[in-house]
Amino acid sequence: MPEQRERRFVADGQEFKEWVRAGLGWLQHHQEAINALNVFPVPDGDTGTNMVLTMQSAWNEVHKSPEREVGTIAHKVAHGALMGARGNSGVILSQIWRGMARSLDGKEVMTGEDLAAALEEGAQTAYKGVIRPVEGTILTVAREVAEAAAEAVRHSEDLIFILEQIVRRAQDAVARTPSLLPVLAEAGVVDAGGQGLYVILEGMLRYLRGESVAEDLGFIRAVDLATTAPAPAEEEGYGYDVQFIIVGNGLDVEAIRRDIDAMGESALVVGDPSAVKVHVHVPDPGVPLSYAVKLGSLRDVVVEDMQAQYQQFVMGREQPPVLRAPMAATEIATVAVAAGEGLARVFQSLGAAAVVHGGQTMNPSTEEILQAVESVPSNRVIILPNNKNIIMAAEQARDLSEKSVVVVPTRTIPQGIAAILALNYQADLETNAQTMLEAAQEVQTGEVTTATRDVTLGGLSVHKGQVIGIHDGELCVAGETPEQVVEALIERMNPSDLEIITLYYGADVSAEEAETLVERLEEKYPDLEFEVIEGGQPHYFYIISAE
Amino acid sequence: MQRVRILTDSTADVPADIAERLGIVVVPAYVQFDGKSLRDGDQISREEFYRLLRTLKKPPTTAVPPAEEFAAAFRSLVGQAEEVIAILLSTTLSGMYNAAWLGSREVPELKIHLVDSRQLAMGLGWQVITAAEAAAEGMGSEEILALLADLQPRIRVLAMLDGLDHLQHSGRVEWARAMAVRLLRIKPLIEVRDGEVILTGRVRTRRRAVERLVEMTAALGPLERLAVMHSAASDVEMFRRRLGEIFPLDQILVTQVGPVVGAHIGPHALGVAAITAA
Repeated sequence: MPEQRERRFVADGQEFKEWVRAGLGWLQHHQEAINALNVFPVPDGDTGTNMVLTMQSAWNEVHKSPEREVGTIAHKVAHGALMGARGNSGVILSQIWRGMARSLDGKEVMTGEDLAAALEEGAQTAYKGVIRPVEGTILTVAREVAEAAAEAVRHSEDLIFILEQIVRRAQDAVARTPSLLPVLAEAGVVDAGGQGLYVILEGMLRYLRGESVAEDLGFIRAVDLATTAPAPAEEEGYGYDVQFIIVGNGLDVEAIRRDIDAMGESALVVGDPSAVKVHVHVPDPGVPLSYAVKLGSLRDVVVEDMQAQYQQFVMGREQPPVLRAPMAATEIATVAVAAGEGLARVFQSLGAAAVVHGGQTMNPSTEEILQAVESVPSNRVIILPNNKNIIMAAEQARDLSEKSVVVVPTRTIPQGIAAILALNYQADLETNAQTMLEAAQEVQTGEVTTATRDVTLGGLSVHKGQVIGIHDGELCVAGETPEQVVEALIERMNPSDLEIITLYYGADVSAEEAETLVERLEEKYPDLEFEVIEGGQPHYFYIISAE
Repeated sequence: MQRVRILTDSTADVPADIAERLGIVVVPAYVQFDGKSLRDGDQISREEFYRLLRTLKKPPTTAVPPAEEFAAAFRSLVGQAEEVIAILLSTTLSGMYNAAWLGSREVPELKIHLVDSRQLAMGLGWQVITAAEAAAEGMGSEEILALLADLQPRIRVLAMLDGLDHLQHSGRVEWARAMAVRLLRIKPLIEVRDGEVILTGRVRTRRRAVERLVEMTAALGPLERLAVMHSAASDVEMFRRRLGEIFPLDQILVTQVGPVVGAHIGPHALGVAAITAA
């Protein structure tokens, strides 16, 4: 018996919102799996989490918007994604939304042809947002998806059909990323950002087909435009937006996520064993709060009536406040990104006007960086991202600010410190950007952390849980203790050419342990000067700066 | 009898042989530590001072000579010259000028011109030497004063300090005091411009600091004269040779910074004092 298929020819703004929600829901469902696709087995800015936070910000921007025009809604989605963009994949995703919104500008509804055009513009915008586009990434997937949409629309204007073709091609494109990007093949993974985009599109398709996008979101049924009245403003009846941070010891992030998921909608649970951030929409705010208070102490509790004043940029406010130092308005201000109180102190002592909390594990959003830029009492600002996965968000913040802003693309904390030391208040921004980048490149960086999975990279086999050492972005040492890995890293840094080595010890290392290590190093390298500084950074036992 | 004689204080670091040849009168400054007050030069040598500086628990303090010692120096020139030009450590950094002025009032029989060098060490020293050379050629005081006015803006003094501790203790330089919270070891690059000590850079390693200093010196453009200054730095010969790439090596004057400035900048500092071409 031939299957009777449902068909859909147009989507209006409210329908478009549902696509976004379904994309977000399905992405959340796959968040951990995408996080696991990191090439480097390090607790790095997780792609899945970054993309979820970016989509969440997009959804927050529109979830109460009553407009029916798809163009209006698309612009709001793009704005939300832009402000909430975290990590490079999040930034590229926000660029795709931006291009789509531009293409859908002024449109009442979106047809299959409009969708294809929007995806094409989205892919183009994403490519333009990257200085050196790399194939085998989310960019490749975005481009192939646009191609698939253009082909599909020649056969049928049915949105479901087009999305089916898109999703099939996305899956295929993701599967081929390792053949385009050798580092993926070596690590035995597909590209995480590409996978994220594929999952978002698949979530949209599942919604259109009336399939579940995630257990926690419940069964969302597609609204058939032809037969139904305008969508109600409050479909779910979930009354409260609840946010808080649980601070404790040995928190089980997975278990908390599972439990919170069961309580409500749009659940977002991220963090580590010492702190977990929760954001959920629930009918009764008491349920998640009394659950969480049993696990640890609660911080930054925010409960909002979802009917109340529309809350912009919900994600932006939960990070610890930006640290600021007094300064003169005419000076060049530096905004640095750093995780850990100690590292923040170091940047402040060197004159940073603001330090944005974030780094390897929690990449700050475009908006958080933008807020810091806007908060400093100077019209000339230099941003030091200090992490390769934060550079793009910093550049987006630069583009959004009215101030004169330059991003010095520092990839590590030691590079950022070398850069801020080179700041010359007398020189102009561009000259400083150049000098600071040169200074950043003169320092060698070592990072010591724990492998998050088994991998073989560059001929080095690493087991999950082993201590690993990264030298200037290259995984090169594996060992059993942080101390052993520090020594091996220094050995690789050409110690006879060095003068000064600084060890920033992390939250998991005691001052005594660090001092003991340095005493041994001083014996081993009597010609070198050693400094020990409390960095307080999470996950990384040591960050080494060598000059 | 020479028409004009030149007088200065010992912070000018004019090498003794040059001072003697040009008839420059040098009034020594004082350095105080462990309850002793010693005259720069005859009561404590510079080598001795830096050796002690390493071991002292409490940083040394410095003092300008009593006005009476300036008066005595001026008096010694009565009958030796028609006029005296006294060129002194910058008024922004020390009371040396004031002591000299008080001393000059005790010797009304001599026509004394006081010049605020707006400089220190060889930044002052070059003014003293240039003026003394002109005086030796028989130039009058007005011409010499005009020469100094032309010379002062062309004098550039650049240096790298081995650390910030001494400058911070000294309390004379605002930005150094303000950098109270220092977590990292830093070698500041400084310039002395119109009497002010300016921070021009912060460098982590000595090798890079020396490199920057050489680059910054080369960037000054054509030079008339160049002196290397150091506070018992061990790499001074290497530094001099590097500067030989931009200035005739045999014409680079090497001077050891005296205890007054040395107490404020600490040991192992390197610097240049240059006269840029007119």
